[in-house]
Amino acid sequence: MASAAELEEANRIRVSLGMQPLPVPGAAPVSGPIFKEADDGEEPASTIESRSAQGFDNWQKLEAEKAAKAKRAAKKEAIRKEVEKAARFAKLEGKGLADSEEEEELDALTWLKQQKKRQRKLEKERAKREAAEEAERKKQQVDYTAADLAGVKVGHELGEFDDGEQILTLKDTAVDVSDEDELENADLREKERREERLKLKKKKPAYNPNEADETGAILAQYDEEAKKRFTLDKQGGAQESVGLLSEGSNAKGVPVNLDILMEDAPPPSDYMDAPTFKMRKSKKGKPKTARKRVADDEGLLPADSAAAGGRDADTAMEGAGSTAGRPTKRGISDTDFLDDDELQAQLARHRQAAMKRKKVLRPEDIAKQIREGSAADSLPGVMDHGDDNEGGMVINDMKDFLENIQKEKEQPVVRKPKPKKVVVEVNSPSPYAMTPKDDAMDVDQGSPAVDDTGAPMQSVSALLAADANAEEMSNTGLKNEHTFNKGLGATLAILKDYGVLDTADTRTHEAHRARQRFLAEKAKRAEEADRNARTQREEDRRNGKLDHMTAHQREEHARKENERREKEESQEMARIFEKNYKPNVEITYHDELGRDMNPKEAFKHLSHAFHGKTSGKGKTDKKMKKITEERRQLAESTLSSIKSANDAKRQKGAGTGPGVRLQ
Amino acid sequence: MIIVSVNDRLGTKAKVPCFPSDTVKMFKMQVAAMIGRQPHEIMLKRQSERPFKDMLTLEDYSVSDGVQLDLELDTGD
Repeated sequence: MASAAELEEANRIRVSLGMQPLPVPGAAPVSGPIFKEADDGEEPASTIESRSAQGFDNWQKLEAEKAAKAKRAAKKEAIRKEVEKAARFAKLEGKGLADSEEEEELDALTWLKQQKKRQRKLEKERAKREAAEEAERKKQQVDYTAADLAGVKVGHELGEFDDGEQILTLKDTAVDVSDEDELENADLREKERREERLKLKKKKPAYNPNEADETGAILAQYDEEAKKRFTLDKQGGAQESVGLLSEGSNAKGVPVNLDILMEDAPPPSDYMDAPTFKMRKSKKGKPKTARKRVADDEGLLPADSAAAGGRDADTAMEGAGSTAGRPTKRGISDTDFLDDDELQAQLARHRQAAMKRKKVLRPEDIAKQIREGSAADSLPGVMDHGDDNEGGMVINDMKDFLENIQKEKEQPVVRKPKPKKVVVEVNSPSPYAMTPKDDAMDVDQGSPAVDDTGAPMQSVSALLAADANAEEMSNTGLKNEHTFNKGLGATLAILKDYGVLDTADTRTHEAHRARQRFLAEKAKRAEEADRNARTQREEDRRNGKLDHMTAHQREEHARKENERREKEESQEMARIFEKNYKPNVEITYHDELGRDMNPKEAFKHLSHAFHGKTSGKGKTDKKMKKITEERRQLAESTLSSIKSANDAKRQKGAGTGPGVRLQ
Repeated sequence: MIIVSVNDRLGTKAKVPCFPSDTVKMFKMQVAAMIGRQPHEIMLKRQSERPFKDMLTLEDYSVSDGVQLDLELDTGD
């Protein structure tokens, strides 16, 4: 803090500059009044001082306001409290229960006297009320009779109502629907709804594939049920107009079952039926002498018949005649089949016979039949009218489809291995006119429709066994490929086949073996020499040769001996080298990707390394592309089985194409 | 009343008692009287700020008690 002297000095300067002097703490306050500066035309609150002064004023004003507000609130609160207090303690006005009804007290006598009068008054009032009610009722009855209900529809069937009174109410409809009024019974409606709900809860599928009779009622689920209604007439009776009308409009005509047009049985096949196959049990004791003859189709014939081949001619053909079972044909069995034309003619004749058997139906006949059926109501032509709820669908595709499926199911296809060779030796010109004398009869059954024996299965297993031998050769006659699922050897074979694995030629193998042998021999030789030296030293020490030598002489002797031994060893080694050592020097270069480089590439690589500079981007890219292409082709040839063809194509492309060969 | 110290860091130093409502011009006159230099040769500034303008007050520059202002030579440009 500046001292008083300094302040005074400063004040002197300030005063000389025409400024307000600073207040000096020690000095007496300025004597005399302090005048406000004259307002020299400036707007109010333009200076800091005036502004701060105004701010203080404002603050004071606000404070005062706040205080006044608090005061007012307190006053109000006090008033309210006073009012509440007064209200709480105010006396309730009016009559209480204990207060008497009238001002003057009634004594018992007067009350009794007045009692009669009061009763009369009550009676009169009641009579009046009853009269009014009666009048009202009468008026209503006059207003509304059964005749008024004529033409009003009732939303139920007549049969639905049980005996007793029925309360019908107006049906709830939208206001803007200008439909006629409809009456309904709330109970009945409720019952209907409940039944419907129960029906829905059953979750009966619309389409039941296991349904026994396929009447095809799938679309029936979408049918709208006809509303059953009747209309009241003037006497309160019912005329069933609406229901009938709707039924009439919804009627689909008389449903006619066209199943009568279909044959009971499917159209007869041109070919004969499958034969009924009778198997004969083989007799165990029989010698199997004729086995060689049937060896060719051992897998094709049922085992039993193969076994039966050993029997003599008569018994064999007794079996064959009945088992091979060519059906006996009526009337045409005497014809011979020589070629296809004959066969076709035969089939045509057969068809004609079948057509002749069939009755030809003209449209008139059909109509007549249907009419008769409807009259008699028992013929199959017209469906029963009672159950037309099932949709009345008579012709439909689904039915045909399902029938076909079922037909298939009934006749499951027996998958039979395809026979390799069929040997049919037929002595008789006609297969149908076979006699038991045909002894050399090996017939491959066209369809082994055998259902009660295991014979077909046996034949299948036999066939499989036969196939195992011929597995190496596939159907195409080409050699089967190796597959990966047979172990490491097969995999290696595959890889070798496709050229993925380079099979090192035998020469390198030999060289490797020779080198190993040489190394082993060398090691052995060295060990032997070592052992010899050691034994010689031992011997020298033992026979006292070294005893009379000085240390120097001993050392000299050892050195000489060593030299001699080494010389011998090296001579021996040189001999071995001369004899056995055949070095195979191969300088190979590998690039950074591990590929082998040919000499040209190797030179390029060396040159690049020497100059510290490699090919440009374009050349490098080309090279990389080539490498990837090579790899891709290798992978492809691994997978595709036509590697050779691929190679040929590639070579052809390289040879004839106009492209530039890249190195 | 506040006391503002003025220093040119070359040996000239002064403590000036004044009001915050004093204009910079008046303040400069006081400083000039104290250090013996013409008021128009005086430039006042807070450290690393723009020089004070004559027509504004010390209060406008938020100069309060004990603040030190840099004193520089005003060359007029």
